[in-house]
Amino acid sequence: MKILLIDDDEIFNFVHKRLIERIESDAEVTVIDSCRIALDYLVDPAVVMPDFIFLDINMPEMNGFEFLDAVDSLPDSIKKQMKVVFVTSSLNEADVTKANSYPMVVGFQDKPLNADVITKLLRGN
Amino acid sequence: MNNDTSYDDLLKQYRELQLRVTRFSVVEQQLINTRDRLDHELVMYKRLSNFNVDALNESKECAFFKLVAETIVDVFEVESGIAHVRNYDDNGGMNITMEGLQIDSETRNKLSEEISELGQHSPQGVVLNIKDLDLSNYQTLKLFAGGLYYQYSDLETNHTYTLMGLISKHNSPLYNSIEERHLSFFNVFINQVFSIASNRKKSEKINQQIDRISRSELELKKLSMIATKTRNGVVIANSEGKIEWVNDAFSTITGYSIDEVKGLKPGEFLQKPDVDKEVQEAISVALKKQEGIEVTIQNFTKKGVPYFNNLQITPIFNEDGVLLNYIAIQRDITKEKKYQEDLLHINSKFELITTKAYIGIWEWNAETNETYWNEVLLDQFGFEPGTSFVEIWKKQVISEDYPMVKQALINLYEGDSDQEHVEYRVLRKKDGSLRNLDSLTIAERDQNGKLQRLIGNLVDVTETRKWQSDVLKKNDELKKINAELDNFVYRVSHDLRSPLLAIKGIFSLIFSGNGIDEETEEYLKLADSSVNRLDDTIQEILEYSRNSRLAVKIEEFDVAEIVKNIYEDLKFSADKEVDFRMDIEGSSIINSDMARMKVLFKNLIGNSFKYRNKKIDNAFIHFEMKYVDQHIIFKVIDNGEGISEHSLGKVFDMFYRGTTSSVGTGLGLYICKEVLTNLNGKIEVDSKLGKGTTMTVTLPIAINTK
Repeated sequence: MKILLIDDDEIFNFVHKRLIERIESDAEVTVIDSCRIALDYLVDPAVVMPDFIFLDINMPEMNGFEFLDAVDSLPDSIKKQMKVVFVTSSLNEADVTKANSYPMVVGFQDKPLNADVITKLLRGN
Repeated sequence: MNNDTSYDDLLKQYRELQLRVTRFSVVEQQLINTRDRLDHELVMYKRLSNFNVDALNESKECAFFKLVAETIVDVFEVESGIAHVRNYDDNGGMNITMEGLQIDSETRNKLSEEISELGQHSPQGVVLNIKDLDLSNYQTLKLFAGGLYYQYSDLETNHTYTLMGLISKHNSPLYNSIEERHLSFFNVFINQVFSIASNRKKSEKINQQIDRISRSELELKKLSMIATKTRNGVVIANSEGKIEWVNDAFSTITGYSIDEVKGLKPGEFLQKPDVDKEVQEAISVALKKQEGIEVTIQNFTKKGVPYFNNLQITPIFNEDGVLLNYIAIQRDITKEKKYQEDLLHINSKFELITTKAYIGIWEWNAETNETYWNEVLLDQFGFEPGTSFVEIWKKQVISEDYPMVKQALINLYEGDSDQEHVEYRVLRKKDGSLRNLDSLTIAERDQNGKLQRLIGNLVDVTETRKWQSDVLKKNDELKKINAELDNFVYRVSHDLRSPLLAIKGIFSLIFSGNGIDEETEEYLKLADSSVNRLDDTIQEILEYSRNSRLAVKIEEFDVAEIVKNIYEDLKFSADKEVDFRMDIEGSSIINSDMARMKVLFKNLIGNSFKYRNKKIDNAFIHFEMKYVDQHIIFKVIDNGEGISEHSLGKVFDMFYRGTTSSVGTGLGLYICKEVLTNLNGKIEVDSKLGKGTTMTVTLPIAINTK
């Protein structure tokens, strides 16, 4: 299983990566701390598409929503199989509503992710 | 906000003015009615008086009765008049004179016979309404629906006279129905006719000389006859102006009997020297010149009560031009005068209000095509005072708006509407400024729907509009600032929480791993709970800030789903099994402020969870929802720690914490109370220490459900 974490906060990246690896020992977790780099990464033909993308909302330069808007212009082959879970510390209800308007979004989780939530997310599918 | 209020006030004043316009027209209409009635009475008297002059000059009998029949039609405004004379000496010889009936001689004879027949079954000497007689057996007479009837038998001459005024069934809608006043007038008329008729008979026996004398006698007799019947006061004075005779009505009006005033001059006791001096002067000048005069003068009754007297004095001369008498007719017009004064009073008040409130008024009379307008209206359009407003106003209406104004007037004119409210712009002539006028025009129609007048009120709303657009602009700015502030609060809370949650993440990593000793785990758990507490505080402050600042936003949502989600979240952190129950009567879908209701339920259910009784195994949290009357009732019931009696009154206070058994900020219930204040609801607490707590939330159904 391949998982991509997009978050500018390295502690969350560290915590989430470790938690996922503990639950799914064969998981391959990639961490990218900028949406721009993540976009380049996804269009790289050498890259295997991740099964899940865990995406933060509030990030410098390009936030999570802007990232999804940019993804929208990518070829169908990439965005069709994309499954995004928002992971955020935002308390804004409007963010939830907005997140659900994107077809590739499959979840919305509060930070930090805990073992139960990760298990449910990864095994539920 | 203040601008809206003053606009509402203006609107209120404006409505009140409309009401006054309506009342004003009612009073005016009453006056017109009174005047019309009096005018009509006067016309009838004049016609009767003309009849007298003509009748006395008529020497032939057939011509006399022709005149009688014509007069019936003229004076009583009936379709046809009949004078029927029957001599019951020589085998019922009959003579009928008619006016206004188009019938052949056969029908005419038939009618004559029927009248004769009817006379034998009807009372004598009484004026009757035709509709009170049973005419069903009379072939010709039954065609008449109404009218006047009178018959009289003269024993001296053995003649029966029948006078009738008739309205046919066919034409009855075209005529006024016969009323009491017609009957009494008819009585007066009949007295005249018969006094003339009987005197005519007598006069045949006396010579020309005597005839002339009797004629002037007759004149007096007939006058006193009219004078006796009328409600107006009549005074007959000699050539020196001293009273010879007054009628009953005079006594009724003034309180003086004939015996008290005989030989006095009316002015000596009816007038006061200092009241209406000029009028008194005018009367004495006229009398000196032996001329007639008509004036209105304030008189006083015997008891000293003032009344307004419309006085008409006519000198009577004999054929040699020698002054014989004065006849004075006085009409008490106090009521009329009062109406007039009321009207003037209302009018001046009305003017004052419209001027003060800067309301333009115009009124167009459809019948006379006359237009009235006030100075304010001229000023609103920027014309100089005294300008003729008619026609020129149109040029000031800006061309874009004129079709709308014109259409409104057409609608009123053609009867498509009774009221038109338009707002249009005019270029003020005086200074060329663009003004917004709020115009309300009302059409007044008679009972047949015929347009009588248009009444317009105009208010200059330019400033109001300016304020309103200013307010809207400010409102937009405020909204923008609010949204920015909202965003800021989210940013701050996010940035505060992020490092905190990162710590929490590390703790969960530690707890899910192995290899830490018990003591370290204990310390870390304490640190973790401290982190949770700080996060709770940040969230509550955010909630409080949002509730106090953001407008209520009503949307449709499912209460059950929200409660279910809250339950789900709580299940994770329960050390022991807690029974989460939910009981909903009726629809769980409501229309309310979802964000606020979420905060409310999260706090209430969260409290029940936080303060659950950890010593028992059957801890439960029970959420109940039902509809009662016009309200939705939510209950959160638990069997937790409960609240002590002395704390119960303070649980909704800011920062109040009733217990130390769990961590908290003391903001939760305060926020709940504030949320419900915003949603027009209320919250009540019922609790027993050690037993449990019931929180009851009541929301009005009106805005909180679909």
